[in-house]
Amino acid sequence: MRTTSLWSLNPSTEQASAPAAGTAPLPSDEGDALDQQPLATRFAAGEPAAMHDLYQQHASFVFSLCMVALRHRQDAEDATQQVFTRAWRSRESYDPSQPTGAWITGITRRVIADVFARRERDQQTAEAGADVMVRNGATRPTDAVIDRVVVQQSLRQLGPPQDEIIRLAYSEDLPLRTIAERLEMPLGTVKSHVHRGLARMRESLEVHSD
Amino acid sequence: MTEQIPPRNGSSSDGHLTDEHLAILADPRLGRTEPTAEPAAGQAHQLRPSVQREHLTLCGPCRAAFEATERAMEALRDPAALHEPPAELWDRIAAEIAAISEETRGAGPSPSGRGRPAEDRSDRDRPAEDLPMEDRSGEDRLDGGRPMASVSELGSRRRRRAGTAEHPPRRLWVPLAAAAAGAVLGGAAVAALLAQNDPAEVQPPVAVTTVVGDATLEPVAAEDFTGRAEMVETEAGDLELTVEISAAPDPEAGYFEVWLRDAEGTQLISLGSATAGATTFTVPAGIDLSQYPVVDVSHEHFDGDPSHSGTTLGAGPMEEPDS
Repeated sequence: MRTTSLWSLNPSTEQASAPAAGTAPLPSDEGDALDQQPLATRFAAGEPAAMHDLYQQHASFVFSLCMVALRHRQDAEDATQQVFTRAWRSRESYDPSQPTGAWITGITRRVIADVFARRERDQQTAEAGADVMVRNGATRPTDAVIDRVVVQQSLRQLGPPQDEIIRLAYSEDLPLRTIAERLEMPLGTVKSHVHRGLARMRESLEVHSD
Repeated sequence: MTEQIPPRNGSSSDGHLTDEHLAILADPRLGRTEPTAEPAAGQAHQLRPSVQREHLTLCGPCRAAFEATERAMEALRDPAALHEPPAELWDRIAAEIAAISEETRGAGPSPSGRGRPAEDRSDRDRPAEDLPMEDRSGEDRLDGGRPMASVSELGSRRRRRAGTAEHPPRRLWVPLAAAAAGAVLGGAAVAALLAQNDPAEVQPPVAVTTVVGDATLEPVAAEDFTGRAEMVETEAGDLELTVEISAAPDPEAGYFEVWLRDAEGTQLISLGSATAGATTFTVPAGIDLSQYPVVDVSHEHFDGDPSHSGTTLGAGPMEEPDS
């Protein structure tokens, strides 16, 4: 008897028991930033603990950016690791008067570009065929990709009801009046939320521009 | 919502456009008081935007802000999924940074292993790290995968695991493989097989990769799926799984993801996404492979949901090589 009989799960059981795997906890940056010098200063001074704080603050953003741009989990993990080790290596070139976000975004952009360059080399040597299929569809790390991740991150920080209003207005393209009715809010209030929400989106884009 | 809209750069009295101006310019819907009725009122409002547009052509900062607002709206049209990095990623980074710090300090390699992220840990993580090996609860730390084992720790941790009651004295796939092969081989043969493999575990890894297991991936949800998987132990002691998908349906709006799981599909560890052809994954250090004896290739969609989609294209149990 071959062992192959053991794996052959009934697909329907598989479906029923599809578990929630791989849910990583959100990094909490609460409690770290208190009573200390600004992260930027501590990091520039080469304080190792500041590196951990920097990671907590930006890991989700960097990893998301790598996932969206590279569309490959292992590559995204490796790239994220590289971003932070590069940040550590080049911390002396960091200007503490600038936001860490822009600096990290710049490093991420370069790391992603490196991955694409490497893939291109690999593709030239690899056999053409199905192997190339999935990765070929991956978008280039354009500014648009960065923008898309930045606004989602910023949206998450907005909180209700603004995040929902912005989402309905621009991701689902609903008329403002419909949104007002759905959320049982005066139209003017919805518009105010949109003004403020868009301003926050704009500011986060500006912070992440390098 | 009780907060006032903070005016941009003070207010429009300094001549610059406010958040509201910018939003209305970027999205005219926001300026319309009544989209259907009262065209006269709309008319009256259109004068101001023309003044504002003129300002835009003259004022660099306002133009940049306007362009950023448009970028934000454009970026919102195509929502990107946010992903949380795996918990153990920080440990990998900390280990690498610790190694960099040692290089730059010019110190020789630490006897505790090159991967040891000692000084770059936050204080939260430090106490456990400072405990002697014997005092640590290796069991607790394995499932979360953190902190990551240094190379020199792996061996002892594996042996520690070998001693526990719940698990047979192997870190590989014996429970499943033995259950399947038992009818043919019998208990004694299995024991012999295990004994035969032990020296490889006790000795430090030599300068070769060792094949520690392989699997034939048989189709589950997809009929036209064939593939195989092979796990090797590298020179550095890391486990690597190479999954070769030789035939598979087009993933269309999705991708393949590779998992290690138990036979029931209730315990899963994601190794990452795979392409048709061969993809190699690093298997998390410290994993108890007897708990995750099955290699599973699923079809996932770009939905940002990190869990298994429930669609297993193909799967197969890992077996000892030549068993």
